[in-house]
Amino acid sequence: MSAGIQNAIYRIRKIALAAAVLGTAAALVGFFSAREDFYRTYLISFLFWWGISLGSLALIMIHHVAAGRWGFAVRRICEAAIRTLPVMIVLFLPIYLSRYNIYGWLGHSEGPHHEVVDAKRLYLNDGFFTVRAIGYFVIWLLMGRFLVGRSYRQDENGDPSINRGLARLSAPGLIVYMLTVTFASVDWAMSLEPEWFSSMYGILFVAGQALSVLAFSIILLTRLRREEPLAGILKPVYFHDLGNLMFAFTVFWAYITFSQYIIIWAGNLPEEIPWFMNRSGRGLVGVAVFLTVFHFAVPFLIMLSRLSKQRAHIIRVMAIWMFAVRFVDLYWIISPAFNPKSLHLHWLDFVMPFAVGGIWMTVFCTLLAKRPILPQHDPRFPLRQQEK
Amino acid sequence: MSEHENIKPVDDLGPLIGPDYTYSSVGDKVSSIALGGRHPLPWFVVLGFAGLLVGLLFFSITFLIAKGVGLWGINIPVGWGLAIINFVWWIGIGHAGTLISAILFLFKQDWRTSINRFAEAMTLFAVACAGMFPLLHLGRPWLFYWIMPYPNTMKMWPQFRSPLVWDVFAISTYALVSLMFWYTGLVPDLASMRDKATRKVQKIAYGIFAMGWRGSARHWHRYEIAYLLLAGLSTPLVLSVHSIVSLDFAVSVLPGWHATIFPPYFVAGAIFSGFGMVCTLMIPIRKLYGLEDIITTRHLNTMAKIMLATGLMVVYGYSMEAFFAFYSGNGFERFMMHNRMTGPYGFFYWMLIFCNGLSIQLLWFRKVRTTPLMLWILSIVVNIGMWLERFVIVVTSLHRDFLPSSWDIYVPTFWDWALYVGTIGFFLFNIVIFVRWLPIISIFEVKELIHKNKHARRSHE
Repeated sequence: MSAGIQNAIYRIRKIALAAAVLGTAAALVGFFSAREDFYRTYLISFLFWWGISLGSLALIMIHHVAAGRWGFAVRRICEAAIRTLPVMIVLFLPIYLSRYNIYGWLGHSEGPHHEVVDAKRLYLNDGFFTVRAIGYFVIWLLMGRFLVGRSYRQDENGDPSINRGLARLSAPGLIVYMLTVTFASVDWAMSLEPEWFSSMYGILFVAGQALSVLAFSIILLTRLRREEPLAGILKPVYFHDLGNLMFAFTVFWAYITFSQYIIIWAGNLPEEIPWFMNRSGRGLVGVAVFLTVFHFAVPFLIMLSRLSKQRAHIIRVMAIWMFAVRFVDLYWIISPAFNPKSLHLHWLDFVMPFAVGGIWMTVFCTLLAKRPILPQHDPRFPLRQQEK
Repeated sequence: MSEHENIKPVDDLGPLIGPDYTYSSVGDKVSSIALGGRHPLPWFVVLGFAGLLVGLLFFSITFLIAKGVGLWGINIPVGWGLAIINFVWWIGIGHAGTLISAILFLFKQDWRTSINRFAEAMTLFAVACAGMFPLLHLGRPWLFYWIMPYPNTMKMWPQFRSPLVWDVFAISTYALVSLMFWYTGLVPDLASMRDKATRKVQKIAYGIFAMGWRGSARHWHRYEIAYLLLAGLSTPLVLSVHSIVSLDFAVSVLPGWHATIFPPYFVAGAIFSGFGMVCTLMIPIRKLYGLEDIITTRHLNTMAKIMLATGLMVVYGYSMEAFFAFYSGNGFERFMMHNRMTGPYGFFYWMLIFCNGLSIQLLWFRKVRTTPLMLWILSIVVNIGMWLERFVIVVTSLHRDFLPSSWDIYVPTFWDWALYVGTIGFFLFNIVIFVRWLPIISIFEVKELIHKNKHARRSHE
């Protein structure tokens, strides 16, 4: 890897490390002073950064199946993000260890809906919850190991048959990804309100993860684009492709979010509508409107134009924006499960994403800097011809 | 900048078009199907068969209007029988055309050029078939305009909160935009048909519909802009139309219908069934007219892959339905799923899982994807499976609802089937006529492909 790129990545890592150290210290203060808010904000932040690792897994598999041009630009970023999965296991431990405080259904059931929750005991019980969590991580680790390992091996020997092997795993791998993320989102997020259910929920997480990782990659690539070897290769057309994908997932996010809303709103059933009631109290309506306008309408209108996707500085702003509103969306989905019906903000809400993110980014940057920033010998992506 | 300059394909399925074609030979080949006047025997057989079924369609419509919908097997609680099942089935089939013409165009997928014309025509005919069912289901179809919002002396407006009204807008928009798209794409080809035609009647007919197209640079410039805009307009329709159809079910509170996953799950199913139908029709036609080097193995392979991908999404939908019926903890939801799997219609549920879930796993094998006969058989299985899916959704959810005293069994009557088979005849009849009179492959777009290939070859050397 060229020194320029490496230095740029190390500069990011320095900031990340600072955020990790300061953030963790602050989070520890929060843990002892505001336990409830610690759990809540930690879960949101974990799900956010977990989404980048898992979204990378999905994006890289789509790339291996579809072989789009954009994939070569993000491949190494996604692979480094996948390799952070062992860190995600460590970061999951605080949630697992405090699961009795976070997930109400794990305690003894009470409240008006306990019969409904009791009816789900076959799925919602401590043992199965643990087994599933282990199962998800094992599956993701194995898939990640295969995908990243093969790709690195191709860097060394340039074996063209590796592409076929990667494509062969990726197609069924995407199914496994869909199912595991769906059930993980049910376990870790939906079950916060154990009487509620929505069959769209898994897709909401899948689309959110794809959107987050696209935004993340664009931010990073636009930051590194002036360094060699990227400077000669990352022509506007790459940002156009990635921008189109980010645009498509923004629209898709709006589509599924709205579909879920209108179906539950129209049905108005006592077991479903409380989810929206809890998210439409004082202040929370504002968040919902904010998401409608700034997670969909405004980015939609801006990214509709071709120009906005080809100019690196505009698409960079859009990516930073989408990255930030992804967090707001997760906040709106998760936080009211802890504090229903009114907007609840704590200083931890602003610190925690940086604490978890700092740790994640530090590891990520270390892994990213270790390998060449572009695949070296993929026969479909001849580097020398590109540079001409 | 096209995809070719950067990315090289790694497989060995050959090019998207036979290497020997030139600009003129491809034009002659495609236009000769319509202009040559010599058609293979199967064309006449299908025409005759479809004609008979169209007769059956008119007969059953006439009888239906005379006697009323009591002719059908519908009852209370199954008020939506075959009519709505067929409506959803036909609308779904149309979606492949819109996807191919709009989304694949925007994503610059070259392989769409050989099949888009045909798939768009299929969309139009499928929408025409679909539209008949809700209208006839009205009971008094001559009052169909009551569902449109218009100022009237009774000061009556339709219920805007009802998805049945959204349907009216969604379907009519869909039909209109599809028609515009198809016709706009046809204009340059109609002009070349006009120029190639030898008989006077043909010259005049193609000339009128070509609207004075001369192929000047200005014509092409405006054409390209119009086509791009229409593609942009059609893209949301791929999602919206079947989403709104799914809301017909999902906004109710009936277990089995009220599921938030319905919109994307219906859209995936629609594209799945649409590609199934494209394969069902395309494979025999390419064989009959010797178009194997324009609609190549590579096309079949790609369409099969899309079928596999969308089919798997549909299977994800089935899994989520089953899982959340359990996870809801709601007795009615759980009963619905139990009844769907083991009740009086259980056989159809498992047939559906076989057709849409198990059989498509064969598409993982390249051998199956690239062998026309196997793909053709599989595409028919998919068509049946998607019909069964709508049957299962409509009938098993309705026939045993919350009150056991109101449960009933639904059995379609002769007239239900006659209307359904009649629309299949109508659809085939239209396809046969389309093949006879119009270029079934977009001539000028295939020429562009040849141009691009030549260009790419030259830059390689």
